[in-house]
Amino acid sequence: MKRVSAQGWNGLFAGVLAVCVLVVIGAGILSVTTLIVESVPSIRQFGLSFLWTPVWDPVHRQYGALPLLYGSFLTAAIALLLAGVIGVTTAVSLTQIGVPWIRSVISLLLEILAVIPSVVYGVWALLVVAPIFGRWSGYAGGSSGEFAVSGFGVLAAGVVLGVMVMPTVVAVTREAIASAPKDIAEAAMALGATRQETVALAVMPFVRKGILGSLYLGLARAFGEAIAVSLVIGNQPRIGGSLFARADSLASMLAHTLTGSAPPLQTAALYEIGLLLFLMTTVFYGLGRSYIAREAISPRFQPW
Amino acid sequence: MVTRVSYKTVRKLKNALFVSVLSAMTSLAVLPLLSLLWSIGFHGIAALVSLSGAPLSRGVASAVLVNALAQSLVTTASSAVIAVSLGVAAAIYSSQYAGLRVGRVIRFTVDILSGAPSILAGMVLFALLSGVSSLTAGVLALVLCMLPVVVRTADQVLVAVPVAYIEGSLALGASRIQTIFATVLPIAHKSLITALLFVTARMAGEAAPLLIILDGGTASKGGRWFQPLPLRLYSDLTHGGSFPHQIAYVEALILLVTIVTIYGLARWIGRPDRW
Repeated sequence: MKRVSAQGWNGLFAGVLAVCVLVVIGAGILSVTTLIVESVPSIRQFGLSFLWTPVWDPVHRQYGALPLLYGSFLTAAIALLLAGVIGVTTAVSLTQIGVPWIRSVISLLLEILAVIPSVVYGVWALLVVAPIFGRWSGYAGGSSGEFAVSGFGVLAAGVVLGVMVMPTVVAVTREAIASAPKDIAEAAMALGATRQETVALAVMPFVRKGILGSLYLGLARAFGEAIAVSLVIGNQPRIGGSLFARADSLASMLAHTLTGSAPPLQTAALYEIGLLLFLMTTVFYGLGRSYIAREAISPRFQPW
Repeated sequence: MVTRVSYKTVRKLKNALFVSVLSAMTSLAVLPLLSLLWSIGFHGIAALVSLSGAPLSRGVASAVLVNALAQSLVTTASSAVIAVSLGVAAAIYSSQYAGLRVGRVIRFTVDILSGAPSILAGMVLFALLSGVSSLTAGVLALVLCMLPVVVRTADQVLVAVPVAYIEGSLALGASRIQTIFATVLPIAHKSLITALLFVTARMAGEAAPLLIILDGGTASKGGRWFQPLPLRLYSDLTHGGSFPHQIAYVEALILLVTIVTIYGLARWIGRPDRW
């Protein structure tokens, strides 16, 4: 038997690893191709008007993405508003004020918040959050009849999404604050600036990009969330025009109708929704990553 | 003089307001988690107690639960083994062998894919297997959705290994394989295991790809038997049953405890903050 040289083994090893890389990338390309191929019937039927047709009607075989885009954007906007305001201020307080042990307890809690699976958020959304909204709107006089009973709707979904997105915003903003130049903040303190002045004048100007990046990552995550949203959004694809109305989002529609969809057209329309979802999350995610240096984030904890 | 003092007071007041707003927002951030843990912990344990009182339902419920848990264990473990071995191999290539440009292409692709929603992995396999559903299909869907994340995190950990060690090893005459197995992996192993456990913890609770694969295909004819725990929980929430809420709380509690345990294990292994 011929002895294989060390060089040969090295080449073989590198070859096997390269094959693994090709498998990973190939799986990605195959996935995108599958989404495109499966949505062909719908693309043929509706063309570009799929994007702005305001009807999703399986009975009359009319499919348009607009109601779902509406639901996705509205819930994501609520989520980002909540997660942005609360998340950024939390990140500031975790780095600038407070006792060290309280800080570490809170950051531990936020990390746990990030690993909780979306079905468990779904339980909480369905059995705790939605009833609270239901009761609340009941007291307020019930702006919309159906909402008053269940609490399902855009607002409930948006709030739950906000909670789910918040750990991402906190983690990324925190990293951004940590990588802001310390000497400038210290110089501000040394000149007698208060905490508030230091943060406003010597810390935040360096963190803007990080915050923007974290919001884009949050947007991508909010768009892609299917399970928890489908439990409380009300699953009715229409443009209600109210925060209390039922609606549906791209991902949520996929979660609750794909498995029971009618094969040629409806399934294809749903795959087109999937393709749309992929494109949008990719754009948001790419924008987010472009604001955040890859090295700036520890690989240990990545909630997105 | 008077204006100076009042200006100082204004600044102090502003600062006090700032600190209190920050504290209030931080408590607001923690509030949902406490609410979630409280409701699931409290109702879960209460439901566990009340369900274990009735012998008949206890038998049925526990059989269903044990079945779901076992399926979860099998799907998560096998998809983790496949995705981790494939993904870490790819990450070793991208961090140790690939040149600057190839490495950038791999990282870019993997970054894009890891940002995609998990439900799409289920849709892709649903189409590719034309609706055939089995636990194997579920495992493949989980692998598809885990793989880019594994490559990305593993690559990041491996790239963080100081180049000086690698150069030293190569300078002493070690081959690339020897360098990888005797230098790179031993240095990175703690962070690597931690990062991979985090990914596994996330996948253990993933329901969306399983929902598409297992709920829609031929398996639905066999009743609700092919149902790992997260999926079981989702269908209990949507379809209901004899004690839908109580069972949902119990299942959520089990899932939560399992995942937080994996998470705790990961943190414990990654204890010293080396990176």
